[in-house]
Amino acid sequence: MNKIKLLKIKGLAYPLGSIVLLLIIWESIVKLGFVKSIFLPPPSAVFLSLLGNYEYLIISILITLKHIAIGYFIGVLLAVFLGILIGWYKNIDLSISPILLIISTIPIVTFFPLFILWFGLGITPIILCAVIAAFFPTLSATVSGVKKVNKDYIEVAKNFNMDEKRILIKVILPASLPYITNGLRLSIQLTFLITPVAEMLMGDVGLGGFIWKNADLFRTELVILGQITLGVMGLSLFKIFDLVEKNYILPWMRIKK
Amino acid sequence: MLKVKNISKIFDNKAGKIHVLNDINFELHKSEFLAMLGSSGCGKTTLLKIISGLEKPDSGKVVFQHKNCKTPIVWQEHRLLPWYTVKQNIVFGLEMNNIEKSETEKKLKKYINLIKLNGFEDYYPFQLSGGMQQRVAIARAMIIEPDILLMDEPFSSVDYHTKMILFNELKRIQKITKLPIIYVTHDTRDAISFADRVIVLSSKPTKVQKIIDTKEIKLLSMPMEKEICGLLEGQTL
Repeated sequence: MNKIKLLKIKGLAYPLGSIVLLLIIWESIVKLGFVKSIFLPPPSAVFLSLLGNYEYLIISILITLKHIAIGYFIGVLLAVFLGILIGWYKNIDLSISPILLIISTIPIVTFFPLFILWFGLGITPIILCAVIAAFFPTLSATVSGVKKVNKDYIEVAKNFNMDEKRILIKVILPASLPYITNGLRLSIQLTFLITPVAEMLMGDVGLGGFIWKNADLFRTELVILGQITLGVMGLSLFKIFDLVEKNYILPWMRIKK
Repeated sequence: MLKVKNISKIFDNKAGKIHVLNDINFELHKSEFLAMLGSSGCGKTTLLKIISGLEKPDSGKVVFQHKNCKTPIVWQEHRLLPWYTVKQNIVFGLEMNNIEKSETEKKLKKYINLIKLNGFEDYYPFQLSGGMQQRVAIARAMIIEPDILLMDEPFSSVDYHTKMILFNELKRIQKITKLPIIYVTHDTRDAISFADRVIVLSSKPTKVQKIIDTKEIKLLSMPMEKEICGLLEGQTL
């Protein structure tokens, strides 16, 4: 067997082995009575709860995904647009950046009660929290990216008498894409962390609501099921993002790598 | 084609005022290959930028034969946009012209043929050799059908063999298009071998020291080359 194949097998066997081992230890601890199953239900109970509640779980997943998607896209679109303006126009940078900096340091969930006061109960406060979570990482990455664009490229565009609007679209935006992409990744991570928390505060929607409601009912196995689902969802979202980035956002860097 | 009249340029920096260009005067004739020879850092690039309109002179002016003269620069580094393919880089200069797609395709084909890069249209710049990158940069400048082509030591980053090939290609293209070229260089041999006239610039501040017709040099051969080298060596760097 060649080395590469062996490494591939190792790469699969080691993590799988450790997960199986963890499940066995977890199951045994509960079954042997070291921990009460109401506090920590065994993995078998979590699995059985999935079979009985998968419809409820799927609906919750879809709702959370909807919140993340809407919040993320609004947040990053605003961030890229504003980031380019701030990075390109010094006057906008000087007047807006200090205000944004102050807002960005406020913990996002503290906006939630304010949003409930303003917009009432419903999905709007959750989506607004997701928008804020998505907005700031992409904004700061876009501003850095625009400020670091190689001046030579701008000179080339000016040499061809390109107007400012086209320079922004044809040169500044693509030249800052490697930075913007980093921001987009951080944004998806933060949006993914914040949205379920906002749902928990709202109490009965999405996976956050799923976890909170079941915790109220002492259905610990469903709480853990919700957490595992969030973990798998997060991992899948980040993997999908990496694939999109490598194949569609930065094709000239994909080949370079 | 072009008259450079009394151009002066001063840069302000922490060390004080630096007089980069001092009362530069010369003319570019129709279909001429004019070399501008000077030591590194003497302000040759600044002068090209002033001619192309990227920099403003502190005094003097550049007079073109007609309004809206197109004067693209082929830079020392290729300055191709890494996120665009060869094809997209070449048509980049046409963005402002709002010409039809079919016309763009026709022009692209013509200039890809001219630089002999057929089959490389969808490559990204980093996938090309240094010589190929510079050829794409030349095509990008040529496709807009310039009135004057400005070149800022464009072959200084390629090896000698590639440089000779590129020079011959440039001469071939110029012969076809009759395009006037201002070619900035610090290499005396390049200037003498390929230009019709050579403007020798002094440094600190940069002044026109001598304008030489290379036909005379080619007749006199080496002594004139030695004289030009002597002019450059005498400059304080």
